Amino acid sequence: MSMSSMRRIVVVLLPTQDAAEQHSLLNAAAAMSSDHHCPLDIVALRGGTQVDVTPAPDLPAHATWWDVVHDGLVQLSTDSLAELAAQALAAAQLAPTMPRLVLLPPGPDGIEVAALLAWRMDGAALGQCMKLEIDGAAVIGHRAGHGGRIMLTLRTQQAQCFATLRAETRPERSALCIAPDRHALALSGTLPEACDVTSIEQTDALPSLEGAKLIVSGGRGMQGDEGFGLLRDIAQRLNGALGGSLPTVDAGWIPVARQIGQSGKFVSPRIYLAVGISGTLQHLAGISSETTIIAVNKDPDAPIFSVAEAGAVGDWREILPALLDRLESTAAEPA
Amino acid sequence: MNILVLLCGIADPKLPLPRDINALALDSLRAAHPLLSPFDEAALELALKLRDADPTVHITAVVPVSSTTDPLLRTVASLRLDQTFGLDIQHIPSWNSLGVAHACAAAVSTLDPLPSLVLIGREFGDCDDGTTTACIAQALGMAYSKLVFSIAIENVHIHAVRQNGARQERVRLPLPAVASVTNDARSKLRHPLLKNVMVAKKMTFKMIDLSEPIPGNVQLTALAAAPVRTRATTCRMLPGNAQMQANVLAELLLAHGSAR
Repeated sequence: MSMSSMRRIVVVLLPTQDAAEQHSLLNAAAAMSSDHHCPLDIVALRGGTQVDVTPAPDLPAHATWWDVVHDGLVQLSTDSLAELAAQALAAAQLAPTMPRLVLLPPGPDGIEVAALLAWRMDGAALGQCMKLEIDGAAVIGHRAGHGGRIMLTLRTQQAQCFATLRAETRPERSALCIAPDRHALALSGTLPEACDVTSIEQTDALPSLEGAKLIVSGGRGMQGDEGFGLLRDIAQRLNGALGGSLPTVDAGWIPVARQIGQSGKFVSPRIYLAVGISGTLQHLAGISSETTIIAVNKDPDAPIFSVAEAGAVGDWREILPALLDRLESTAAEPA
Repeated sequence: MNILVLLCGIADPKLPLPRDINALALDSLRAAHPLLSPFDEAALELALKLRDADPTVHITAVVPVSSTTDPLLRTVASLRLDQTFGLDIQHIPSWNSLGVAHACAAAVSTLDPLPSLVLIGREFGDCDDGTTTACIAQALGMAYSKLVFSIAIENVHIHAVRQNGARQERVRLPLPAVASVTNDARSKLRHPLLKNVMVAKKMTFKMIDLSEPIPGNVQLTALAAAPVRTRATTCRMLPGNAQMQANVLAELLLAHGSAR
C-alpha cells in the first residue's frame, strides 16, 4: 500500500463495554492493521474514579495503547464519551494528518459515539458493520438493513471514517503477538454538563445477557406471561440468563434489556434454548454463529430447526414443566 | 408545549423481499406497504400519552415520504394529531444516516413554533441502526437521551425513564430536548377511533420541501439478501412424548450449557 493511501486505524474503547466484545474488536482491528500495514492505535477511555483494569492484550500487530483518563468523566453519556474521544484523538496526536478509520464497539453506545464523531469531524458514518475492508484509499463496510434481511455494502473515500464493528468471524490467530506500547494521557478539557440521573431499583435477579454461557429465550409462541415464568425458572435452575424476541418485549412479557436480535442485544452463549421462537433472520442476527441452538416449537417446519443442533417438536406447556421437573430432580440427586 | 414526532416508517417486514434486490425495489416496497416500526409506534404513543396528561400539548408529526398520497400520512393523522407533514427526502438514500439527520434537522427548523420536545424511534427506518437519532439531536443542539420508555413534563424539564445497559434510570433533562424512544409494553400504540380514521381519509397533507443540498459521502455498491445461516448437520429431532423430550433436553442443557 502506498503512503498516500495509508489509513490509520484507531480503536476507541468505551468504559461501558463488554470485555468479550472488546477482545474481538481488538483482534479484528489488529488483523486489518497487519493485512494492510496500517498503524494501529487503541484509545481506552475512563473516568478518574474508574480503575484501569483493562489489560493491554498482546495483539497480532504492533499497536499503541492510550490509557485516557478524565477526572470529570462521571456520567457515561454518549455525548460526554464522544467529546472525550475527540479530545483524546487530538491529544494523542492522532490528528488527521493521514486518513483514519475509527472503530468503536458494537451496541447502542458505540453506534452513537461513532455517529457523533462522524458528525463533528465531517466524516463518513458507516454504522454497525459486520465486516470492514480497506481497498486503496476507500473503506468498504458491510452491514445489515431491513431487520437483518438484507446486506448493504457501503463504500467511502472520506478521509475520516467511523464505524462500529461486530466481528462474527474470528481472525486467524497469529503465532506472533506483541504487547502494545502503553501511554497514559490525563485530559481535563470541558465535557458536556452532566444531567441529573438516578438508578431505578431492579427486581430482576437473573444474570444479564452479557457474557451469559446459557440463555433461555422465548418468542411469540409463548403467548403470555405464564410461559415466561417457566422460562425464568428454567434459566434460574441452569444459572443462565433469560432472553426474548422483539414481539415478546412489545407484549410486555420481558423487559427491553433482554431483547435479542437485530434491534436488540447480540449474544454469544454456548447454548441458546429457543422456545416458541420461529427463527426469523431478524432474531437470528442477534445470536452468534458459534452458539449451539436447541429449539422447542410446535411447528415442525419452523425455520429455527434449520439452524438448531437439537429440536423438540411439541407444546411448550407440556415440555417445559417436564423439563423443569427433570432439572430439579437432577439437582436433588446426590453427587 | 409543542411536541414533534419524527416517524420514518418501514416496509412491511412480513412481505417477501423483491426477487431482484435493488434500492429502487426496496423503496417501492416501503412506499406501497408502509408500516410504523415498533420504535415509531413507541414514539407516537409517548407523545399521545403526554397529550392525555396535558390537553394543551400540541403534537406535530413529520414523516419522510415520497408523495402526499403515502398511506403512512393517513395512518399517523388518524390519531388526531394537530399537524402532519410529509418530508420529501427521496433524493437522500436511507443508508446515508448523516444526510437523513441533516434533512430532518432542517425540516424541524422550518416549523413555527419550534418544538420543545422531539420524539424519535430509536431506529429511524429500515437502514438505520441508531446513528440518525443521535445526529438529529446534535444538529438541533438540544439535550438528548437515548432508549427512553416514558416521559413526564415538569415546567422547563422532562423526567424520562430510560434503559442504560442492563439497568433502568430516571434522567432529568432541560427543554428543548430530543428523546430516542424504545419499544416497551407501556408504549404499545393505541388504535385510532373510526371517526378519526374517516377524517384522516379526507385530509390533504403538506410537504416540507428542503432546498439546501444534503451532504453525502457514502455510496452503496451492493445490495443482497442476507446469507441464511446453514448447518453442516441436520437438526437432531428428539423423539418420544413430552416427558421423553424433556429428559433429553435436560441432559443436553446440563452437559453443555449449565454454569454449574
